Amino acid sequence: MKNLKLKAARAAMDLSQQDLADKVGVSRQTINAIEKGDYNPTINLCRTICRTLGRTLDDIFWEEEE
Amino acid sequence: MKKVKTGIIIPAIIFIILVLCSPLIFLYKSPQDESVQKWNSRITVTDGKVDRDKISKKFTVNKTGEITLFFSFLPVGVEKDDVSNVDINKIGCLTTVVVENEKGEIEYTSTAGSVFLDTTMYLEAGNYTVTYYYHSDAEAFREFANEYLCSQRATEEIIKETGFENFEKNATTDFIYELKVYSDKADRTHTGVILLWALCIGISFGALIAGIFKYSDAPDGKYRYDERQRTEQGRGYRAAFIATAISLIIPLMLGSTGIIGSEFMLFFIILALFIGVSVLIVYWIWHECYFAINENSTRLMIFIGIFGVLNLVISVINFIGGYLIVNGVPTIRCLNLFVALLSLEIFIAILARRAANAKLEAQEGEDEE
Repeated sequence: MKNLKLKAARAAMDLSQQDLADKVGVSRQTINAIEKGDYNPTINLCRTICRTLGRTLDDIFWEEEE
Repeated sequence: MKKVKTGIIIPAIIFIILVLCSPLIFLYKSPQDESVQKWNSRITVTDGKVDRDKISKKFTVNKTGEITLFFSFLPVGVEKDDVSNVDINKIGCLTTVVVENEKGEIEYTSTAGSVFLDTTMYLEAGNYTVTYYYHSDAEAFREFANEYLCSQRATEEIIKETGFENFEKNATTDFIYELKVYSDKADRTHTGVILLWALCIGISFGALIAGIFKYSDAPDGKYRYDERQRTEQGRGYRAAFIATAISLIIPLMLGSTGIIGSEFMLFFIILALFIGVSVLIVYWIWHECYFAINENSTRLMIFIGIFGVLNLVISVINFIGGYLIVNGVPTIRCLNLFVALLSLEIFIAILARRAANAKLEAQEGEDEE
């Protein structure tokens, strides 16, 4: 399942995947995999991403029930 | 920085010293493996009969390999250069030589009556007996030939050419016998020394390459992989292990049933390792966990390209020289071909991944717009 919230938060800060990857300290492919839903990050990485983007875990990684 | 210097410069110095000193190993020769026996003997022919049937001498081969046996039984007063002047008719008998091993198996038999001959053959280490047989008439030679020579037609031809009927019936000749046993390769550098030296050069070169790759990109000496890459690497190891296990089990099973000969096992073990490494590297490259974060793959591509071409050239040379497959069995030299194929595979995998990434990025760009 695609993580569109992460993509939106990144785009809101005008960051490319590479920029976010550099700030978080992972490879660009990892950010891409998270956005595409191909990889489930650990809680540590989730926290780092949220801190970088100035969001909470709920904002980016909590799935809304339909 | 100091660590970088140590990691690259020390292997580089060792590698250069080893390469420059390589000619020195050819000064180290194996000890001469040679034995010489000399003796004198008088052969008397009376009324067409030799005073003895045969004489035997023993010699020892210390090391298995190609051994040259040199036999000489020249009449006194005849020099080696004058062998052609020796008249067998005047001697009154023909001498043949038989070499047998400890088990009594025949290793060599001379067929003609030369007084000066040598032969090179593969002999295992051990004790051997050389027997000189004397034949003064056709019947005596025929008896000998029936036991030691296989072709009756050849025997009759030798008898005809020798002309036993012209032999002196009464003659006395003093012979100087010489039996020399030596290894043709005794004066060469031992293969083991060359292989050991090549191994040292290989290890130092490997350490140098590892040093360059380890320290050239990251001054702090650390390549870092993120958590996704480490997870994928683990999956890659699992896939490679399964691939290697299957690649090994199949030929081992076929080998145990006799479908594949044991001489092919080395080839299949190398093939299994090649398949395992291929699966691992291609999996890692495709899942983008082969290169560390922000590592540049271009340098590796250049190195792999050069390395692959070098191995391909060596493989072609080996193939043309007939060393790749000997008697229908692939040799250890197939390793060069496998390395060339592996390099090509890595090269293609990196290119394919780059192309796929470019396509994905273009698609992402369109989505974001």
